Amino acid sequence: MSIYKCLQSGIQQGFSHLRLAFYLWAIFLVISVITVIPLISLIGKNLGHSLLGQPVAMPFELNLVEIFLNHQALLGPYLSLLLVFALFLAIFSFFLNGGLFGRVLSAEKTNLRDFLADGTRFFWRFFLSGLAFIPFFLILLISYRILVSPLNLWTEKAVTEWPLIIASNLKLILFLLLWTIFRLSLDLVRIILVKEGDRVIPSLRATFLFLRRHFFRFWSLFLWLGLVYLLITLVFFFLGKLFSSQQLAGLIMLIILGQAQIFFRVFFRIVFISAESCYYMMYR
Amino acid sequence: MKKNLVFLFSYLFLILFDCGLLPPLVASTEERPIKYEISVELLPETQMIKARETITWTNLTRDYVPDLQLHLYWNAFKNELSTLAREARRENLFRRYRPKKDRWGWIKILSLTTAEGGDLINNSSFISPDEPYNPDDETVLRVELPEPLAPGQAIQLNLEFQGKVPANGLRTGVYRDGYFISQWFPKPGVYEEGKGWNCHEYHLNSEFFADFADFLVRITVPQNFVVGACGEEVDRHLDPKNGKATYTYRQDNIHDFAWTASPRFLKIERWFRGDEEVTPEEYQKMSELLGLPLEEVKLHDVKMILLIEKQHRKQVERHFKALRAALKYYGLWYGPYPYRTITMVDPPFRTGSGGMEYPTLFTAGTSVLAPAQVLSPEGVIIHEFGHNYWYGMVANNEFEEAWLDEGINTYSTGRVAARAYGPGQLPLRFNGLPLNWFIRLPSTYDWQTDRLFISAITRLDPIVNPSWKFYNSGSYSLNVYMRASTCLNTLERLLGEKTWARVMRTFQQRYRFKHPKTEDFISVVNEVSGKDLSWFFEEFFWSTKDFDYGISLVQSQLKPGKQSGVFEPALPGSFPVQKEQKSDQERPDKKISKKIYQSTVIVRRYGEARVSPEEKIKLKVVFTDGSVEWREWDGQGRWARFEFEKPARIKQALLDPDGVWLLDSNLANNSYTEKGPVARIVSASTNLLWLMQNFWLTLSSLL
Ligand SMILES: [Zn+2]
Repeated sequence: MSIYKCLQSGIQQGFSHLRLAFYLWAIFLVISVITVIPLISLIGKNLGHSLLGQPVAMPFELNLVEIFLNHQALLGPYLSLLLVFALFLAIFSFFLNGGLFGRVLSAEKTNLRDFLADGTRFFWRFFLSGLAFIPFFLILLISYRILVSPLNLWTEKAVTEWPLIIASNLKLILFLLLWTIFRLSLDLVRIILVKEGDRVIPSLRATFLFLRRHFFRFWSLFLWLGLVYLLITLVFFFLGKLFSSQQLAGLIMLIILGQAQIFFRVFFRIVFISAESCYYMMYR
Repeated sequence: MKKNLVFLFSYLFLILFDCGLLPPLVASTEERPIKYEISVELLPETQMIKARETITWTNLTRDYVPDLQLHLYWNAFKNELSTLAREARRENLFRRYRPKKDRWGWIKILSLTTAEGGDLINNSSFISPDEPYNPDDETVLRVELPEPLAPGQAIQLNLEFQGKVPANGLRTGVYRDGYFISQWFPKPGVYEEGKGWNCHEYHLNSEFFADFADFLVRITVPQNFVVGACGEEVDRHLDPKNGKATYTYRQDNIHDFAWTASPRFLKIERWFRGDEEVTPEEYQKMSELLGLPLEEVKLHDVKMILLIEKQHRKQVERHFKALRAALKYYGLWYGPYPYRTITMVDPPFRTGSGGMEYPTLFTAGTSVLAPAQVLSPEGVIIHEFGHNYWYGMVANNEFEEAWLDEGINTYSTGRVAARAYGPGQLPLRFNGLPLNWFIRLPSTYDWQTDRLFISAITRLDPIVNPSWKFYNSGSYSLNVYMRASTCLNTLERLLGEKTWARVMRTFQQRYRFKHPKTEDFISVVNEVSGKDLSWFFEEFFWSTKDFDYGISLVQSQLKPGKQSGVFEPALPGSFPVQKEQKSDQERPDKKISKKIYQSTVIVRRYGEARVSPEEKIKLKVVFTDGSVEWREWDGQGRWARFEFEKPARIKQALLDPDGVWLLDSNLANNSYTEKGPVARIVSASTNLLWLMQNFWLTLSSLL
């Protein structure tokens, strides 16, 4: 019952923080536009005045591949650019998550200034909690290796392709499940950090104490949320297959749909945090 | 090979063979240099084979031959020092060939005697003929003869050998009880008159070369195994006492022999009937296209044998449909398939033997999840069958000029697949699942994907290059398969369908059961087309030059109404005066005043390669008033400027408007249009943006 309640509360909270979702969507849009501009300008420069389909008809996707192959020399510098951005974003993410958790867990209406203030306030502690979780990530990897070993034994002896296909998809699911445990623990540390105003180590302690008592129910809440997220994402993919970018209307619909999916992704992050916090507050 | 082998392609005598229904399509001839008789037994307990082999080799040259050189290919899998292992390590591929639990493969000759009983085992030693020299390779055995073999003289060698089937072999191997056995018996190289033996080591990036021979092979396996092999099964003997079965296969006029055995095979036989597969109209059209009498284009009946893994039983019809298409189109274009059987093997699971050709037998390979829109296994079936024509019958030296079969056959595969199936989706997968379950994938023709990669890394090597001397496997396959195929597609467009069809038919028919070289192909092209196209091969097959012509500038400007400057007056002898001259459009005597545009198109040669001056590159310019101007450029310089003065602006400019030069590494710059493909670019850009947004969001959510 409490799971259902928190699901509901999470979604409600999500809707009351649409502005926050919008900030995040806009920030990621800017970063993505900056990093995608080199690719788009390459395409524009090469195909901007090209008669596709003439004189030699090629599917458009192959035209794109040809351009990238012809400009392989630019790949190195471009990847360096991406790497720089990735490093920047990695640091920046602690700030963004600080703002996100700070605002989601506060009762007040969100505005940009509070969002930035929370980002600054929690940056260092979020950064430290991220660092503190590196060993847990290693534990996750090790447990993954252990858990998949029977699957590997099974595929080693396979006489048809089926075990390989089934095992590789089971492994993927297994990894995602382990990942959810890692994710929910880190979320919980941060919820406690923000809610209780604690330091990192006490929050970690509180997290494990809480999980020791409530792990399976908390996890099932997370999985329910994940399932809803997955199903709605599949709907986006399904809708995407209905439209063709060949017609203008279809193209516009696809662009809208694409951005809606991104917005939904950000929005649902808020839903996750709210629901997790709801559950924590109920049982702490 | 310059031996003058005459292979009569005859219907004159009918030997009642096997069931008696099949006409003997491949005539026997006295002039084939080799006869093999082999009895082999598979020993599953030890994953070994043991065999007795008789090789009768006839010296058909005018040389006195002092030795025999034999391929012992399985020794390539014997240790880490073989040439193949060294080459694999160089390319970081060694892990793929390093067997688990040290189950290395090898072949060992136990005895080697002449018919007279002379023991030759002590006269034999391993040699390493190729560069760079590797003294540790044991894939070529030189057997010194007691005395040189005179022209016309034959020698019979009796061998006993054992082989350990490689666990992680290349093209051959075993996994549990599934075996694919190829390159498994001691096999002489090709003796070339005046030059000696052509017998190379087993290389990572190379296939094979051997002489035509007659084979009689007896294969003994446990009774529960299903067996397939080259040629026709002529006898079967079951021995219930020891639970073994012996299958006898026979085939004349082939140059290799492979076989397979597994209890997990389903064996299915069907007939290809020439008169049912091809309509009278298709025959008629073909005979007109090739300028041949109707009888010469008619196809024979062929027995199709499929050995398929039980896990793929649902794909039996797909396999046969593809094979029928291949038998039909290769047959119509290049001449009827002359053998009586063709065996198609869906290779035993994990034997690493898929997608490989042998005479009258080939391996394909498929997945349990094979969407119909993706032409897999169809593509590989067509390709490997096609090797019966290019490699099997026209038997070039794959060590030295692999493009002659791989390039021509890749080109042919694309043509057959396009004719029989149309475009197919790219065979992309995610975690073992077909990617087209999740997203839309483009449908492409082979020639489109083939030409894509020519600009990628093909500049490292020319197409004509010994296989093991390519920069790496990538450069080898992109050049030998893709770039060569793109060259042939270009030639087809350059010469036109009819001439090209006759070129290919002539080359196949003239060199059937021979060993042609690149020069032979060029002379057929020149002879049949009546043009000297040697430059084409010089430029594209023997060089690494990039080929890229393009439009670099298109401009249309209104011609100014007044031209200022100093102009000569009308009267001779007067001084020049400075004034403004009115242009045509403003002269009062012109009643209709029109806007005139001065337009310029600059075309450039970006790459080093160029066309011959006779093959002009065409430029088509379309103006806004609908008028069209054509220009030609010999393409020799680095650039050329074309100017136009017309009452309209340039709307489009097209270089090579007929799309002949598929070899052009950058097609995007071959055309210009005022209004570009905005919607397409917007769509691609927003897709990339979306991917980027998801990428950054994912990264951020990890922290
Ligand atoms: Zn091939």
